[in-house]
Amino acid sequence: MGTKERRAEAIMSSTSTGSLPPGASGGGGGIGGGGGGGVGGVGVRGWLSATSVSSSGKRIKKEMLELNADPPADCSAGPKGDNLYHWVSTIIGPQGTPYEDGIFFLDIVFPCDYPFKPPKVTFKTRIYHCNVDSAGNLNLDILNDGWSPAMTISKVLLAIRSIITNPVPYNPEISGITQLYLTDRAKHNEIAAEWTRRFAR
Amino acid sequence: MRVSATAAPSPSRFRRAASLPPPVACGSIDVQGHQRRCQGLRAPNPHPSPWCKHFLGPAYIGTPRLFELNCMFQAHLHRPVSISVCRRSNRYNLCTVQCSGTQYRLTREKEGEKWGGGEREGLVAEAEKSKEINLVRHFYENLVPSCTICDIDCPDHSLRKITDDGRYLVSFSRNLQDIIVYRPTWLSFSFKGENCDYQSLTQKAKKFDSFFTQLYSVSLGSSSEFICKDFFLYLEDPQFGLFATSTAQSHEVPAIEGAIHGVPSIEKITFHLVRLKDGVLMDEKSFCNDFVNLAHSMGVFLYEDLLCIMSLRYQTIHILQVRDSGDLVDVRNIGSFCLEDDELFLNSHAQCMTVPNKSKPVRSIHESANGIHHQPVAQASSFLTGIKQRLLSFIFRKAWSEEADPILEKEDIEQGEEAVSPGTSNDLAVGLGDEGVGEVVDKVGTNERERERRRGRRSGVEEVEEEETKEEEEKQRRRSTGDRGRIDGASERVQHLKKKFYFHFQDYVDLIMWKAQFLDRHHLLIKFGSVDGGVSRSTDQHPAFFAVYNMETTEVIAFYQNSSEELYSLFEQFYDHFHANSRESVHANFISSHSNNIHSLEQLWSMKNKQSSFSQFVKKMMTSVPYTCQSQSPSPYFDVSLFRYDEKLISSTDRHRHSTDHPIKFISRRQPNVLKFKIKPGLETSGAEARTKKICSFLFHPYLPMALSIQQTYMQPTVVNLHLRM
Repeated sequence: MGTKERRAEAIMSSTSTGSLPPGASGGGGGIGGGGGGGVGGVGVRGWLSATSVSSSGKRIKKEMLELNADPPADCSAGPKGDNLYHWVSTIIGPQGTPYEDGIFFLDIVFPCDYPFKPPKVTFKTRIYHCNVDSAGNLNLDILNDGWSPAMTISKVLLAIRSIITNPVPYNPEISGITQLYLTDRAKHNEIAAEWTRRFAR
Repeated sequence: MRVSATAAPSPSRFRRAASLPPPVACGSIDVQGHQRRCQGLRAPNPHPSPWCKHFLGPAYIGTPRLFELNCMFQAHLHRPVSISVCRRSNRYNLCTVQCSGTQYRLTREKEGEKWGGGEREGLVAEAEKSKEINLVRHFYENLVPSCTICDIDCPDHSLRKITDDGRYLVSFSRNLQDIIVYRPTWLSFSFKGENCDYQSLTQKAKKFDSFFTQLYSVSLGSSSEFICKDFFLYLEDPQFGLFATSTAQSHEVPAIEGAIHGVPSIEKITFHLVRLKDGVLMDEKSFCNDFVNLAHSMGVFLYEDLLCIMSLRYQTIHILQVRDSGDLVDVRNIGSFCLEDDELFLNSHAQCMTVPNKSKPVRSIHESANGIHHQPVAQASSFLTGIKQRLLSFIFRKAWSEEADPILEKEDIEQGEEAVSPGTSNDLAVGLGDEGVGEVVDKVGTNERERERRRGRRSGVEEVEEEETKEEEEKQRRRSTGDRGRIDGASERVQHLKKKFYFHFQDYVDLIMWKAQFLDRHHLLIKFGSVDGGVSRSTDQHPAFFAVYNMETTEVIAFYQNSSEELYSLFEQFYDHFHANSRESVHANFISSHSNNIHSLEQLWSMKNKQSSFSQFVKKMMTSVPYTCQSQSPSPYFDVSLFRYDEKLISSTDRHRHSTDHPIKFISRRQPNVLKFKIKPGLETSGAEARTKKICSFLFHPYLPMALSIQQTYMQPTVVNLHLRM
């Protein structure tokens, strides 16, 4: 974890030494520190929108390098064609879960003001999971309100992988699966495994 | 509802589907069996046929025809036979063949067939060993359709095909409303006087009706639906014919949900199953606002009783079963889903899944933000179709597991290079093709910062060259910090996936299924390509891919590009497995191909050697895969171990060809330069119209020495010639 922190810091500082003026660099540094990054992000967003394309692009590129250097287990991702803002990720269903042996493809779309806005992640493969709705939208806190610019795509993938292993049954919207998950885990796992067999192989 | 299925998805339907006949063979291609068969079928040097020795049977009758008959049976049965003939008023009516206690009777009655079709089939069944049948075929060298009846008095129908068992001649009326089915018969006539070897026919006998007896005519079309005259498939047992009618094709396609763009649409395509024995319409199945490539039956493949219909517009392979009772039963649809009850399964769990409303506003903000820079993400919410998921996960797994070898090599090279001169590592990385152009360009810009960062952070580490790429730098750093091993492997893997898989991900997603065929009862060979190439006929310019898909396990088990050398080597060695469709037809086993015939193989090799670019050659060859069902005639005259002929002018493949004024020569293979017979389509005197473009097609009987040539000239009546042995 220590190396990861350092790397994230390095990424942020290198971004700031690049094309950004000192003011923005200060904001970036704050974000890198990981504290109240959200506020800093909101503060500079308006200004960034004019020049952010290249800076968000650089950030994404950095994250790509980082991901390539140290990918989370069972995960991989890469840009679709030459569009840096549109990625595809693959998560192999973790061993010991009902999603075992499934190959789950995810679409990742980075907003142009990334990392101040979270990337949009959607499942392209059907999955029986209480945090994924019937259109494949992922209900993950860190991809909505809990987003912090200190997050990286590696961390997002890790978070998705961990939510696949351990669903978070607090979301009342997908109540059917949640209820089943809470009341009859065996049945839930059976259905989820059947879904994986049918739709994720 | 695009398919007017006979029944809505219901448990009973699945039960019916589940009771499919037991599989013939499971698993992938049976290589050994194939080799055995090849050896049995076509040893490069067939033994001299035994009928030469037993040329004269015990009951010698002084007519050449009985010679032939005798020889034929001896070769068939591999045993001496005795033939006795009852003469009645100077012509023999009844002939009995005796062989090892089994008696066959061959009638030659006025209305009957020459060698009583049924009995002959029984003989063939008895002499099941392919080798023996193969030997019989040598006999055809001397039994050739050398006599031509020009411009035979023929009903004005569009003649389509003589079925592979020789039982039916199928034709369509000119207005494409009716099918007219004939029974091919051998001419029978009487002579007065002694000379029964008289070699020419009377004018009265030279008509279509002498050779073909009309069985019936059935109307299939309607005011708006016409029979597709390019489409006909035949089920040998229980003798069903599959016909298609369609409305006109429209290119102004209404956008319908689930349909892909760029494919034409036909308002209604109906497949009709007709019992050919008596013309009774057994069942039909319609596809609405869909597109099935009906030309030369390309979009439909028949394997035993299984039918595979490729709906191009909805990207669905419909698997149907033709029951003996004459029903067309839906087995499964492969496309959006893979198993027949996937959709049912999904719907049964659908009530649990509701789209959360809360996340919607968030999403819409994203979309508006994304819309500026990327394509609309409308399709992002849609799932991959079942077949695409299988395909992509297969490609993914392959890329995931295959990285090891090349990467190991790369590591070695890198280490070696670094030991010699650390400064060349940039050239190496580019040379390995690791980086996209954009990244390489970008690298130059970021290098400086990278260096600064590194200096600041790792002052103790040795200085690295300026031109080093970022990836290598990362690696270097990891090396120095000592955490190589697992991460390195994983990192290389992701690198590999990025280049081999993610970069092309959208291209794979955009592929559409063009054509499919059965390899056996479980495996489909599916051709994928871009939308542009799907309908056009010359598809060799478009990139194409082939997948072998097991529809029982719903797995893709192989995936090739159309330039794949591996696929080509399979094609070269095991081509017969690509058209295993009509194995049950005895005659179809003898269609010459480069995997069962040494002459075809030599021809293929010589083509291969002449090619300047091997990959172009492979692509060209791969245009014939998947095989088009029932597109080749099993006639012995197309057997290239017996005859040589110009494949540009004529071949076993059922296609229209440009016709020349010169007769097509069939030259003996075993006696070079001996012309065995000629076939000349069109009128005998055609000097005046020499310039006009003429299109010609041929219908060969599968075993009788009889063929029809149909020549069409623009604005002129069709000329049908009958070629037969006199």
